[in-house]
Amino acid sequence: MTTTLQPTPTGFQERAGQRRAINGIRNSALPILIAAVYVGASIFVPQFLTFETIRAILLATSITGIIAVGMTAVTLSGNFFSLAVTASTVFSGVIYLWVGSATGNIFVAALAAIVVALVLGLIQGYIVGLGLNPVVVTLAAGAIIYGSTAILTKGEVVAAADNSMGRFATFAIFGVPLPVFIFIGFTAVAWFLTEHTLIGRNLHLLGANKATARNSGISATGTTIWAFLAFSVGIGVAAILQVSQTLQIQADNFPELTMNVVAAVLVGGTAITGGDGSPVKSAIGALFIATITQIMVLSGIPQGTRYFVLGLVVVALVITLHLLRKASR
Amino acid sequence: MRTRKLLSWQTVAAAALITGLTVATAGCSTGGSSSSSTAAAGSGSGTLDGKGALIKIFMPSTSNVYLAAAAKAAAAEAKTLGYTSSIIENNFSQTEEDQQVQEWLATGEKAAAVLIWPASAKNATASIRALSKVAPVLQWNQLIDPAADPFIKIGYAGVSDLGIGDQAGKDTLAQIDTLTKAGYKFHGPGGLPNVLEISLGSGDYAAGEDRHTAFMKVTDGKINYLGREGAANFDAQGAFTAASTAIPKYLSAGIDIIYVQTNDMGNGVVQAAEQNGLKPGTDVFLMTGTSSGSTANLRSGKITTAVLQSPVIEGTLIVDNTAQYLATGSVTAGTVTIASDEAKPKLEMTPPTRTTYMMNPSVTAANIDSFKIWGFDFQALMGDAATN
Repeated sequence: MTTTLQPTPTGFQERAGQRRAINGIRNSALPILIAAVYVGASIFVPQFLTFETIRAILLATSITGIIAVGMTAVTLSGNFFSLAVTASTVFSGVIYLWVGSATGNIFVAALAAIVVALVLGLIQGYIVGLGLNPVVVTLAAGAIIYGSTAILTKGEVVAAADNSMGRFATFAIFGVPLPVFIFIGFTAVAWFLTEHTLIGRNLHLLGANKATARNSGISATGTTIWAFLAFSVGIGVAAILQVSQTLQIQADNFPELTMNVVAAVLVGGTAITGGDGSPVKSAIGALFIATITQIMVLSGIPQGTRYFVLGLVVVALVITLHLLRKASR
Repeated sequence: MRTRKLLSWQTVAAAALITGLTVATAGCSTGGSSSSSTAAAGSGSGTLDGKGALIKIFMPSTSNVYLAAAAKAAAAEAKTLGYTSSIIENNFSQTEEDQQVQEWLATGEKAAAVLIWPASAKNATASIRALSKVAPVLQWNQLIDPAADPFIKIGYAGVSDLGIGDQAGKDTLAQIDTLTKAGYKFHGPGGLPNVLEISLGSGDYAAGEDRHTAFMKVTDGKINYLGREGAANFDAQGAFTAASTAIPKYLSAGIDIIYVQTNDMGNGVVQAAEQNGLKPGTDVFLMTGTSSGSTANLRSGKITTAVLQSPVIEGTLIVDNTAQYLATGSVTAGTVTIASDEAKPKLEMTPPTRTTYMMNPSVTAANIDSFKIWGFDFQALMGDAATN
């Protein structure tokens, strides 16, 4: 007589139940945390719950958030991050000001900025799609783009011909600046494309398992190019909005942008290895970082301490989300 | 026989005289071609003409528009005075600059003087000490650290951050006076104006601290200081970010004046103020420092004042001081701020002052187009570091 040990259906169900619970915690952790932060800050931080403060948070979120939402497609596809964020944004911003100043038409200028961003993204996406390391490719691309900007602008400040080029930033609806609405709209479109279209599913599958994706007939090159194009639209839009706010730009602007975008994507919970994540989560990640920063400003915490605390919070969140992801498998 | 002896004696004497004269002439000639040795010994060349001698310049990258304009002006002035100039740039890294100094010293190239803009004045002492052994050193743009002071032969020439903060403070007091006379009501306690500061860093950048300290000293007791927010990046974008988060904090108290440490940063603050419902130039007044960046807001009155910091003057000044030192071989103790003369004063063969600051006149919408210093208008003074 032999005895065969088999897993009981109950054990299966228990583990499945645990995974569902952990996944639930993972998916709702950040929204719950943000809600808790808002409630706490409303009670303990003077002037937090004012229209001006909330507007400042949303504005600070919008630029970084738009790029982070675009970057999510790259990360989802298993290509880590583009490290050419800063250089690409500056270059697109310069194009916006140059074309706008030359034509006097901000829409033509915006189109030119986005087209240039798309071309830069297309080249990077194609090279990465061929199988080259995305970190190396985008790092090199960033250096080339930065160098080109410095040469073309001769290191000078590029300024708008007139204030009309700032309309994208100054236009407001009910006192809320346009960049905030563009950020929300951009996130919604990115979410739809990522979660409800074929290319979105391809991005997930390619990031989760490249070999399986290839066997399923998904083009790694084509899908990677799509990811970089989505990212580039974010770059172009963010550049237009950022430059509209200050009406000038220099080659060495936005030195912290790349790190802020990467932090927003990671805090949002997108897996650095790809396959798992969402543009909405990246948007929430950007909102969380902007909120924590604003709370520290209102609390009079010095800048150095703010960076230190923010770094700690980001690291703690990323580790926690990583552990939860592992536990849910 | 006697005649022959006499001739012999005369020949020896003449030969000795000629030899002596030749050696003396050669000595003078050496002093002229290598001014460093003469200058170091305390006697100058006696002429402002460089006669092709080399002035070596170490400075951060000219990819920065201000540095590019300063370097260009220094090279032009060196050429005018008959010197050869050569610049070694670093990417705002003291480590890189230190390495470049060592490499240059190893080449054995002779220079009449070395002009150093340290990437970090606090950490440049070793390089300055090494350079001082081969040529007299002048430091510019970054004030001399006490540890490096014994090795700086010529002195300091260039910008005064204390001067910029001081002028911005005086401009602020003048604006307060103007507004008071016009019946303007300030928001601070006792009718004092509420002043917010957007600074270069937050206590961790020497230039920002100097500008803050000088501003506070001038305005002491005459303003209600709300506080400061440091910009992580010293440009319009960095200041926009800083102001966007700081303005909401003080908005309910009422912000009358925003002191921004550079005009370039002021452009970002204008936008942040407008997004918070303020009207720069009407219900909030931006008093700024350095006049770099776009001047559009300054010309339109959204920025009330800026303070001239001309890279062209700075580049010219460092070479002039060096030439004066090499000509006279000495330095006058003390500190001097050069006057805002319309025409460039003729360079005199007098010792330079140990510390020579550039002029820091205020720049406003009213005077920006009529500016004339050393024969340059405002745009020429800024050498592309400011745009219309």
